[in-house]
Amino acid sequence: MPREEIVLVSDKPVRVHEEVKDGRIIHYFYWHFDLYKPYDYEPVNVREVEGGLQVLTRVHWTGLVLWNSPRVLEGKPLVTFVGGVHTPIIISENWDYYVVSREELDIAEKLALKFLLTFIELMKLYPWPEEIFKDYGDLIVEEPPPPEYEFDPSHGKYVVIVGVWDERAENFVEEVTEEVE
Amino acid sequence: MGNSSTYTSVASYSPIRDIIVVGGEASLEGLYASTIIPPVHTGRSLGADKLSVEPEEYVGFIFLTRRALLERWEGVVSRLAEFSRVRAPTSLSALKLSNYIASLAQHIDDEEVREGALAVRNLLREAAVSVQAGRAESPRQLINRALHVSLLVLELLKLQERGVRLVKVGDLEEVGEIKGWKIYAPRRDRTRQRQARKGARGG
Repeated sequence: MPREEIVLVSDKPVRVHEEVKDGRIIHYFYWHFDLYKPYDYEPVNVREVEGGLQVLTRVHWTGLVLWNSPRVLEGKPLVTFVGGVHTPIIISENWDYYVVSREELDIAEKLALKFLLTFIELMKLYPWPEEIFKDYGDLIVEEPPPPEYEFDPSHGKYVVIVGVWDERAENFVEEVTEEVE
Repeated sequence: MGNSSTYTSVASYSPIRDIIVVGGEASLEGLYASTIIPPVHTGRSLGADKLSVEPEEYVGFIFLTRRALLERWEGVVSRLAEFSRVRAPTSLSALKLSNYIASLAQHIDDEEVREGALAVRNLLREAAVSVQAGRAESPRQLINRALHVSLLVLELLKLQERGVRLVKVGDLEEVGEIKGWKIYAPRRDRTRQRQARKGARGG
């Protein structure tokens, strides 16, 4: 019995682990490799908030990305995966970005962020036709990923907001500041 | 163009396609062995598109094309991967690689990517000291961290080699604060900055 997708994807991973945690559904898109990195679990959490959908992903271990203006097809945000970016890319109606940080980033975090922001700039130029986005229900397995790969937003040191800056974005940042505290 | 013919003739002598020597005073062998004076100090970019410089200002300097720089950095990553997964480095081999990285870093024209390359060099130097001191676990951790950072540098150099302009994280401007977390936005967009400033609560 296939489970329900929370997004539509441009590329199919090996499998998708589903985790339900504190009422949140997280889908982990698993790839054997992301370029050089083995065992790549990319978590995606869709948030239904007043005013529309938001999508939450992570960059490496300490970065959170809130996609605040996702493009939606059949009620689902559109996701693509690009080698080396280290976070799923959510196709957005607006590619503006903001970085919110509680402390100085180390060099690895800074370079990962630099790559992501550069990539976001590139995304503005590509139209992303809707027909390439498909479902993935047949790939969902009802078990969480290994514990070391679980998505825990309280480990966030910085947040990237992609899309419009609005009250919803601010509310999310406040949530993160409280969780990290 | 002043003495541009010097550059042309020397470049055509070069047996190595991806290195361009500006000026004709030093032999290639000598330039390889010597400390390379970094064009970044002169404010010049290293891309092949930036070769229309006045050669007399740069006699003896070496410019690497982005392709050449990328290939050399791939070599660094391979060596680090070997240190990490196949054979742990000796103190000397770690130091040699760190010196090579130091000379290569001078050819990286993006300040943040260069900072990454120098962080790799520093980690290798620490690993060399650690090996010499006979510590078992710490060199491996340092090498793994160096490998991780070197791979991030590699990805950014690949983008540059394809002609992509990299975003500068350091150029983001602080535009607000929420509960002690600072908000940054690209400098160019004043409207967005005003929105964030106006909207940001707490602080």
